[in-house]
Amino acid sequence: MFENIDLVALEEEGFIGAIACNTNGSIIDATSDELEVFGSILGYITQVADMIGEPFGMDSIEEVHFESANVKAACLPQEDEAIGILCNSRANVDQILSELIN
Amino acid sequence: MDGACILDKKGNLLHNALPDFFLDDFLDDLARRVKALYEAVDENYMPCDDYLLKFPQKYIRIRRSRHIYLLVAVDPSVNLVSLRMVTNLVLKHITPKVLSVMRSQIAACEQPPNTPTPAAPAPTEEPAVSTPTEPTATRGNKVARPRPTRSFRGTRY
Repeated sequence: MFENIDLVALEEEGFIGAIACNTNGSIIDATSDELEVFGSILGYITQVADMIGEPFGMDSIEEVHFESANVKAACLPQEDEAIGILCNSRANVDQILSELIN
Repeated sequence: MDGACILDKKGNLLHNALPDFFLDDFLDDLARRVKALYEAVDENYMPCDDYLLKFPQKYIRIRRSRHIYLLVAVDPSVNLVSLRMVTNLVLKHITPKVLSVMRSQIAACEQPPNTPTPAAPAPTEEPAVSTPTEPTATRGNKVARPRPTRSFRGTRY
């Protein structure tokens, strides 16, 4: 899944890593071995975020972005999997996402 | 912006300005789910204070300060930088003092209406004397208050 991406170019933009997990939490692909913990929470984040939108009458969630002091992250639920990306706090996550997925 | 609400760290609603299409019956569920999202990431990954949930219809921005959770529902066309600046102001404004005022206001709203008081005693025949009353503070009519005492290095001024 991530074999064709230009990691060096993305890392210059603040990209740290990406991981794809299926609904069971098993890793499908990852750019680094250190993303296992991050991957393990993707499914749960998506489920809870979906439930937050439920009382508003929203359809299924498309993206979850979250950030700490040093890191920005995004989670994109797909049909049977979830893709997560990690970036540093200065990165433009939307731009990196578009480059990674398209 | 379509609506917002403020929850305290226990998930109690402090301010509700959510849009009309949000059903109030779900407020408890919403608070529980917001807390669950934060706890899951805090405990299993790293503490993250800011979330942006992108739904096809709306975006929901959830932010956390030391005292509250702030949830804002916005249109996807919103300027996210401006939204961040405005929510920064809200988060900084809500201090423990403001929090206690909000809680007392909610408690006052939840109190049952006062029971009718017994009829007042018949007025005595004393002549009505107009006494000077203290001015009451109303909106736009400021009342002069004694100046607060200030000091600089022990010297009052």
